Amino acid sequence: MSKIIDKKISAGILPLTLSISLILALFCMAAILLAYYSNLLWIQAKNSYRVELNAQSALEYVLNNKISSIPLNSSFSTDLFHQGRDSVTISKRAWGIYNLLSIEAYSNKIRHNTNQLIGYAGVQNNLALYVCNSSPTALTLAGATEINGNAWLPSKGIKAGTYNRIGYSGSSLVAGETYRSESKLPTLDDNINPKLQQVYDLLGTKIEQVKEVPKAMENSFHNQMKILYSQESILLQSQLKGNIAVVSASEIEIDPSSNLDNIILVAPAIKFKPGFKGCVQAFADKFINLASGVKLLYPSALITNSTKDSQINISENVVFQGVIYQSGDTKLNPSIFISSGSRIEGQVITHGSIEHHGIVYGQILCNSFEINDNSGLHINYLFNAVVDRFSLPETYLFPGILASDIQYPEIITRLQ
Amino acid sequence: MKRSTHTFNINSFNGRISCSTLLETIVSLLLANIVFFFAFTIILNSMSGNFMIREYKAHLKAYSFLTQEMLERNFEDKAIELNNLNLQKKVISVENEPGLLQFEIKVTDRTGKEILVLKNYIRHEKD
Repeated sequence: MSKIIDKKISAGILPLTLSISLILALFCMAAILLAYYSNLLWIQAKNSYRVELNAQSALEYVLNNKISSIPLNSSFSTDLFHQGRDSVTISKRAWGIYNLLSIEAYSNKIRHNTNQLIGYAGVQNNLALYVCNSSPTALTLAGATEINGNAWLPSKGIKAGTYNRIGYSGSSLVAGETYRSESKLPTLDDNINPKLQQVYDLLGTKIEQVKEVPKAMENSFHNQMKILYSQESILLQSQLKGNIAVVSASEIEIDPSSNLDNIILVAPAIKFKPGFKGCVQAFADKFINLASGVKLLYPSALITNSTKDSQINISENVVFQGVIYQSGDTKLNPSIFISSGSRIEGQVITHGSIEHHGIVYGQILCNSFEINDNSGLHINYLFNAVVDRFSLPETYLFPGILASDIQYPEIITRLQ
Repeated sequence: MKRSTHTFNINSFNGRISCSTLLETIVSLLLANIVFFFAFTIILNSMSGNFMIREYKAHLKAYSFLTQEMLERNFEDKAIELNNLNLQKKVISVENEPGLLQFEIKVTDRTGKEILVLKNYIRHEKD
């Protein structure tokens, strides 16, 4: 045996053997790397699927009547299925008058973020009209006025009457149940005032002024809010989308050429020029004017401040979808004016009075109705006005201004 | 001083080596082959659908099954068979969370071996 081992053979076989070994080693390396990276990619894909599903689960988890227990501007983390691998962080903050829910699901380095505006289906009481029991006169209906839905009325009740010699043309005064109202509006949600304060605080922020609002800007809700602040009046002719607040210490005018999507406007006076179409939340100290033909799409909001005598004016042929809210006791007559031919889909809430000649698909809650004309002030008069709770789509979600609305939370829209 | 130089001479391989040297080389070659064989087997397994593609398909089936059950808001246990895979949905009440249910989708092959489990929460209070 040792003779065979000691036998000498041609050395030329050695480089050949080494070369083959080297080539095989390279193949092995490539094969192993391919297997490793394929596996790694698949594990990442699996985790990414799971994290995305966890974000969906977290949303269901928090919308299951948990959202109201989360304090505003706070967040918490939880392990969804208690297995130590399904972590999510849920945070709630205000986006104007609405609640913004942010969910981050994560596993190692894989993260999935979602942002959504939350609204409430509210209590199913078919409330169409709530007039506080503070007025000494009955609610008088004249012309082609319609009230479809349940009405909470002052103790003097409701009656048919005439305005400008035109009598009431309807067959029944209220197409729904009637109840006695209280002297004040129904209880508001505790979070409303802090939310409004948060927005109006933007007026006092000491931030750098912008010389000119950019022509186009988009900001994700994953980022910090961008505030475009000016002490001068602003004429908006821009395309703005997302997590942006335009703040002026003077006045904001919105040109119909501008394209605004889910942004916030804050100023003492806000004026929408004729023909503007978009989705905004406008917060004013004194005055909001929607010129004729303006379309503000859901979920928009028109809000005026509590401490000032503020007014909201809605001109003819306006379509507004969302909420109009006027807080505090405003003494202007009227504090909200709704022109004929305009349509509001949603909720109108004011501690003041409303002059209403248009159509409201949804709810009106107010101190009183008024008609202020040359002949004087007609208190608690409705002339050619429609309030129709049943025409509000069932899918409509309220922002939760009234405490009784804070039920059945759902997603209004997903934000980027 | 004489300059030292060394050049590789290809003619060196015209010489003779011992069989033991060749044996060592062959053993090395064999080992390399074995490693290559295993690596290649893993790749083949991964690519041929026995491992990754099967799991990928199971995932797709499980997700579409879960989505369908959520959209239909079907809150009952259910089991289906799809392309040699058994998909079983269990509806579990979540402790201390009234109104919240957990959908658990378990995917097994024909031998009963578990391939994956998906879990998801869904509300049912409004129904």
